[in-house]
Amino acid sequence: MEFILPGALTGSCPAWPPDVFAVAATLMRRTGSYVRCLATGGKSAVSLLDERWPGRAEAIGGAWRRAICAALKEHAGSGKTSLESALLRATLPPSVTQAWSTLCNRAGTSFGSCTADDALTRSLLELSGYADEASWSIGLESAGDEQDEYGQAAQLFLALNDKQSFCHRVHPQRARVLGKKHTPQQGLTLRSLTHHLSLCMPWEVEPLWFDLDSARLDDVLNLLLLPWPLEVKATDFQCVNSGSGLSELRGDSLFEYSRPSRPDSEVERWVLDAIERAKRQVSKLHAVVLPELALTRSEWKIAEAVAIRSGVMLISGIIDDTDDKSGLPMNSCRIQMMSLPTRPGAETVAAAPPPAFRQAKHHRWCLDRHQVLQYDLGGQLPSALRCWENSHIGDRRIFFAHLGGWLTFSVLICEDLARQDPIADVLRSVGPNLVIALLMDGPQLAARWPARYASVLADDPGSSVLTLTSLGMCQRSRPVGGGGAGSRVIALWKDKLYGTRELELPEGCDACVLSLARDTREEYTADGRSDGKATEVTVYSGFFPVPAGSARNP
Amino acid sequence: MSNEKFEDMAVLSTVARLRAKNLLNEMDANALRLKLKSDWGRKVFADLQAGGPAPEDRGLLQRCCAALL
Repeated sequence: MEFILPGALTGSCPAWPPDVFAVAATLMRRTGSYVRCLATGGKSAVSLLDERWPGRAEAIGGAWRRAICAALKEHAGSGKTSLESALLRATLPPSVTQAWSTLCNRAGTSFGSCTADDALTRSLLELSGYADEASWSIGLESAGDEQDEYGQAAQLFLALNDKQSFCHRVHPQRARVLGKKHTPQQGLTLRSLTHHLSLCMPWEVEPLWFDLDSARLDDVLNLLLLPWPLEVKATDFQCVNSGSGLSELRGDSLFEYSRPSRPDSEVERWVLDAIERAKRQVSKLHAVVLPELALTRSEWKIAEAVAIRSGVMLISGIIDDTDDKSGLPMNSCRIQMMSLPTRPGAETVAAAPPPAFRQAKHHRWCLDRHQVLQYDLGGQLPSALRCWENSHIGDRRIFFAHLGGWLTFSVLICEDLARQDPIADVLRSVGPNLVIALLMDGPQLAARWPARYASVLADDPGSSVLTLTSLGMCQRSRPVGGGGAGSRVIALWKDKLYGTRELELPEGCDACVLSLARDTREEYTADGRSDGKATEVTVYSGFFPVPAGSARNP
Repeated sequence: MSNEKFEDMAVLSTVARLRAKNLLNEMDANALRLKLKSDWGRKVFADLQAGGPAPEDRGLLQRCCAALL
């Protein structure tokens, strides 16, 4: 306890629920004592929490939140005290302080004995449940909903923690607490225990949470999928001298994928033309998504300007990015999510373009003999060696963006979907309701690896997943045995309610619109608390191929 | 391309939201100022504290902050 929250044993109960949750959840994760939230029937039935627990947790959590709001309203602000000082004036519900006292009184218990200690385990479960109930919609308060003082304080602490945690007194290098979108409905892990708070251990991956107070999104979301490049040449793949000789020592090789940037005017025309053609299929478009390594940096700038003018988000992999510090080549993606239409009454003065967010890939792609042959690259790359993507791996970060009132999404780049470590822990803890995986891969068939990993995320935590590759790589794919050769399945959709869909471009089409809808479902925590049917699930709602236009395609 | 300006917009949005709710104390404002990473962010913060950012900066912030409408 003292490690997570210095001074915890000598001071009073922390007033801020995410701090209390950080302590209780870390202890439960370390000891596994959360498994005792379950009741087992039979002759010697034992349950730490009775049937009144869900209602009690909701009432006490609600009272805790109201106490904080009242204290902040009265004591915090200009000419008054800081939020930190005002928090100390909150009168916590007695049940919270009693559970905290029980926990502190048993601080000498060894980890091995924790689970068997009824009072200690009950106090951990109670503190976690109260804090969770107090924190409803934390980090998910955008789109004009009137944010109470609790939500405002959460925003402040998030900003002070560099967007990594909603805690106040618990340092983000000791434990991080973020918001949450899905509660796993299968199995039993610590994640099963909360609706609103997630524990993210301060390990190597840095999660970043953005609650963008943008205009409310429609309940139908139309994504224009541009599977660019439409053609990938074998000569776009080249061996690279590693310089150090280390790769050669291992019998490995390095490769890069590159191509020249296209003229600005052509890129602008292609993107505009694609958006216009898509709008013949759906009247409103919300985002344009391109695969891994789809655009050069200069092409991104042009496409971004078009997206901003068109009022749509833009998500794309970048082919020629470099690490800011070292200048080394880096595989990354960019996300322009502030380009959605502004609210009525917003300034119309021409401003600088809103900034995009950049996230780097966490793993290198390794082309083995099997893949070199599959993509017909044997004339360019040595099939006898393992060929590693020449990409710098730097800081590992993953963003979670909540916008438009219901959408919380993340983006992964290719290998990051397959090699779920080290991001799996944080991704599963938060459970965004949309994960977009940008790939440089073969056809997105339901039998292939992206579908398997999408299923893992759809099962636990319940995230919906879109995988998207380029038509060029799809068409290069010639698997041994012939399955999927010449396929035009450029994307795959998976959601936990309606399953898997292969998205295949018909001949004569070079793009498609994927329509997604917001659905709501009731989820339960393992200790029996309902979310009141508040879980928003992103589900498949339609697929509309876009016939190719007259403009020569990329 | 760095994420500095993007991250600064999140901080500035928090400043604007807290101010709109009259919850922004001088100590909290100063703590938030120290989190800003770009010159642009520090300039807009000063403008926010002084009364209001320039129209072009206001327009930018309104994309992620309804409190500035």
